[in-house]
Amino acid sequence: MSVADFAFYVFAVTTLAGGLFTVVSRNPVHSVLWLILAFISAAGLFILLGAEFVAMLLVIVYVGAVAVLFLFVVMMLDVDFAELKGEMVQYMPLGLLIGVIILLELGMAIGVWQFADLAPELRQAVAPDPQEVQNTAALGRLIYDDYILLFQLAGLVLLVAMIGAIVLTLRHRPYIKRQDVLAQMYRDPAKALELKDVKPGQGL
Amino acid sequence: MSVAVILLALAAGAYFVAVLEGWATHGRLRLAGPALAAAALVGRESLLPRKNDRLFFEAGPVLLLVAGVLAAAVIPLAPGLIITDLATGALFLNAALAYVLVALIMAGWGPNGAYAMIAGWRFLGQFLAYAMLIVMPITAVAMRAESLMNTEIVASQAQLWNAIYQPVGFVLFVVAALGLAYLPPFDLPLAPGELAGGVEAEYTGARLAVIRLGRMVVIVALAGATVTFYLGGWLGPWLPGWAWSAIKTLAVTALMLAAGRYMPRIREERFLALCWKLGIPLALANIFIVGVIALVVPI
Repeated sequence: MSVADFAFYVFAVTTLAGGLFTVVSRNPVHSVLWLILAFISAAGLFILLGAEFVAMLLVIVYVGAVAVLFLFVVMMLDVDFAELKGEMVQYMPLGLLIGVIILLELGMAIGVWQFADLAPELRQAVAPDPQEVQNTAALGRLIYDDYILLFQLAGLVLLVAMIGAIVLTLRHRPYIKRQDVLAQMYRDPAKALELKDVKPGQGL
Repeated sequence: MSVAVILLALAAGAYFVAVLEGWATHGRLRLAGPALAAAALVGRESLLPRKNDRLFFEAGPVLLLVAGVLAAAVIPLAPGLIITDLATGALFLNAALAYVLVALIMAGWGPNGAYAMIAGWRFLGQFLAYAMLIVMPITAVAMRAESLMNTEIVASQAQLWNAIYQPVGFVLFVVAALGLAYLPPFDLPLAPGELAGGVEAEYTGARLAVIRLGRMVVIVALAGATVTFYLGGWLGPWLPGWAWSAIKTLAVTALMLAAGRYMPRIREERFLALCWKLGIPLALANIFIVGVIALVVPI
């Protein structure tokens, strides 16, 4: 077994283990950390394939995504394990049913999968020769030269999704106190104080 | 050979940062200060907080140190004096430094303490702010060099340093680096005045020494990255290359430590607003301008 083979098995096993513990871990924060381990191992697999650029992007982008996940775990989930378990028993049959259906569908899809004639050759024709062109340059050529319109279209779809999310969640709440630095700085005694002339022996 | 040299240089750099920081905070320049402090810390009892998350508590400081060392692995000191000259070196630096966030969240969550945890989440907010600003200026740098390889990025600045060629990107990168290394004015994750040390609050003994060392290494790696991307790396007259790299890196480190010393801390939500409303449009404009210049007058 060569070094590359060995590295592949190490990364593959850690990816699978990370994924498994993401699901079965009892503590949600631990789950998120296992997910990070799975991402690192997947990046290692990409490096073994010679796709350095994709590996680096995987690490950079998904650590950011995981950061947001952290936020969701702590802010949205009120972690109550007894309640979680009770709910799990309640929803178990439905969950199992959905799982079995998805498994069956996957099995059917893979079972009837047929490669088109010349499929590997067609793919080869599009991809530049990895021996000649450097990985990043090859990706850039594919994305920005050959498939620029599709790429722009994908960007547009993402933009629409982003705008949609903002429109759905944006609420202007007038009763929230906000700091206005300029208003604070231009506040003077004349605006804030009122002097009353109190006669001796009388209250206000 | 070059691995040992670079690790030594990194250790020396981290030591100098510690000396400089001690000078900046205590007002006295003591060359032996950090060594004595480290010895005192290692000799001290390493307490474990109650109901801690042992894995996170132990792994956080070490991960911070590892992230810094990995980032330093792709920074060239001189031609040939680099641990690995990856074809995607500039990206690798980002990928390594992304784990600073994970390390600080772990260090914040692990000890089961309110101060540490608040500090960890503060750093998360800070990450959301600086994350884009540390990648986008590098895009413009790589556009000029037509490569992500760090040695080629340095070589591309033979005519003109990137700090002059794209000053906006330079400023944005330094600001993002300050946020990443949680240096003042972005040191809310430590906030000695209100959180009693933040992520470091519950650490004592050798673990505290490791987490502080990790931060120093991250600062040196960031200064090295600034020198590589913007200040022409080893390029310079008279002196040998490694000397120029060392001088520039120390100068940038001093700048980073001094920059926010007399500024009030910036709250996370203001930092977020600043980065996303001002920083990212500026970074996009920077990329556009550099692209136009690179097409019209190639220097």
